[in-house]
Amino acid sequence: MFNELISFLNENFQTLFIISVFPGLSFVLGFVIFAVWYQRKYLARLMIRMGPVHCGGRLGWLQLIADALKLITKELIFPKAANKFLFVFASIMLPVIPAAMIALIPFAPGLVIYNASGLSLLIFFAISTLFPVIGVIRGWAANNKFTIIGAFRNIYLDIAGEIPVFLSSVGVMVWAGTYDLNEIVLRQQGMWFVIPQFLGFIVFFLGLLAMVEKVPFDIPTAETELIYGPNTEYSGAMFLNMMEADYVNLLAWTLLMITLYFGGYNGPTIFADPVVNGVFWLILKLLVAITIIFTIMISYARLRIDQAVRMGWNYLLPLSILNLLLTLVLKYLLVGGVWG
Amino acid sequence: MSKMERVVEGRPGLVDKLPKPVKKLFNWFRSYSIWPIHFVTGCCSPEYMQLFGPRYDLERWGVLPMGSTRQSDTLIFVGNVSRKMMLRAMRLYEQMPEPKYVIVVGACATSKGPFPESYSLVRVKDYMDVDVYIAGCPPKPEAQAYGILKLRKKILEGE
Repeated sequence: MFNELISFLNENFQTLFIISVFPGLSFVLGFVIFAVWYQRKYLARLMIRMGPVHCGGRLGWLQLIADALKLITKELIFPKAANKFLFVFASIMLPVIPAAMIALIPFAPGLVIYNASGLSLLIFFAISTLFPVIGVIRGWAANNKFTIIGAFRNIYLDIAGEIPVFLSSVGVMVWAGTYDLNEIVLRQQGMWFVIPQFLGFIVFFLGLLAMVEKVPFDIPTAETELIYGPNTEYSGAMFLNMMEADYVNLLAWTLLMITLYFGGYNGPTIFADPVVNGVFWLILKLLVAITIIFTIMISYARLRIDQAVRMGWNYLLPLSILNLLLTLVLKYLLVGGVWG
Repeated sequence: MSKMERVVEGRPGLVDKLPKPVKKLFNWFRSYSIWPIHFVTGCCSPEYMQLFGPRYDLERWGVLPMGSTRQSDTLIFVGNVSRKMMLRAMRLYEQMPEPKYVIVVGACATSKGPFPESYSLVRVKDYMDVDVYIAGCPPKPEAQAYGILKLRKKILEGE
């Protein structure tokens, strides 16, 4: 029994490593810790503050560990009127859904957790539609007026952002002629798709900001001004899950943006190993992207919910349809056919 | 929650039964992650707000102001507390998960301050256990930062 387990582990070492360590679980959790720390330090520096400096040296790298341990060891409170099963279920499921989306992103040639046989972009969007549903369940299950208001603001925003994002990615699908994310990356070796799909990229980026709920669109929580939006009733470890879900969602959508528009893992050869080279360029692009998102967070004021919804439906949706038509026309003129 | 009774402290936590090194670790991370919620009823709050700006920046010690009681550790009374507001404050205190701490800022909430014969003001210490009092009318931001760091030291030493 034990020997069989050892031989199983040895034979499937690479698969297990991919699932549990690098593009899998450990990387995602490590990114969450890094991103929260980076956001706190970077925003503090832009506000001429220091950020955490006393916990773990000048860089404050132990701060997030201390926060997480404290939240885990705090008391869990279940409201009397809450639907306890859904209350716990939503807090567990919410980080899982964006993490499942990350499984479809190619990190390097051949380094992808789930090879979806040519349909990975469609499956990515199919999984992503579950996120607002669980988001509403968490607000409804707590049975508190603040969580319900927060959950509805959340779903208005998600739908206003999600449909333009889907339609602008259809432009990329048509331009590349494939649904496969790995194939889309390979076709960007000559030119990143942000150049032929510039209008689509603008729509995608604004929709992405609305979906990850960063500051110009952080309407459901409003930086703790509306209590805490749909997360109001969550305490301790369940609140930790909620914060984690936000940042895993940010990671998934930022990785998709890089894969669709900025050449994915493509880049000049620095390391001889193509896998190391691909991972290096993808992580570098990821860091630049989240730095830009955090800079936007601190530079702009918050929109009202009606302004954000109007932006999504009145401007982004027509622009994404216009982008799709332009892509079809351009592809017909250049290639001589829309398919392939 | 309509009677004005003293809030009963929560049951003794698991931490008290743990071995000493683990208890030390618990105290360490709790001391570095104080998330306060402020109960603003008076004019000490303009002084309090500066604590999270560039000059005093209590985030250096991991103090992060939160908006909801469910996620916060420390209830900070900033200003005078009337009989009516005390009911709300007690409800907030009961909503917070254990372990929780209370800081009282300013003379009014500590000892009715300049209104000793008021019919409506109450002292916070009559209703819940207070960890740190900060004297002053209003206390300067330095004094409030010192008070919060005193609470930090108290948690770190496990008192």
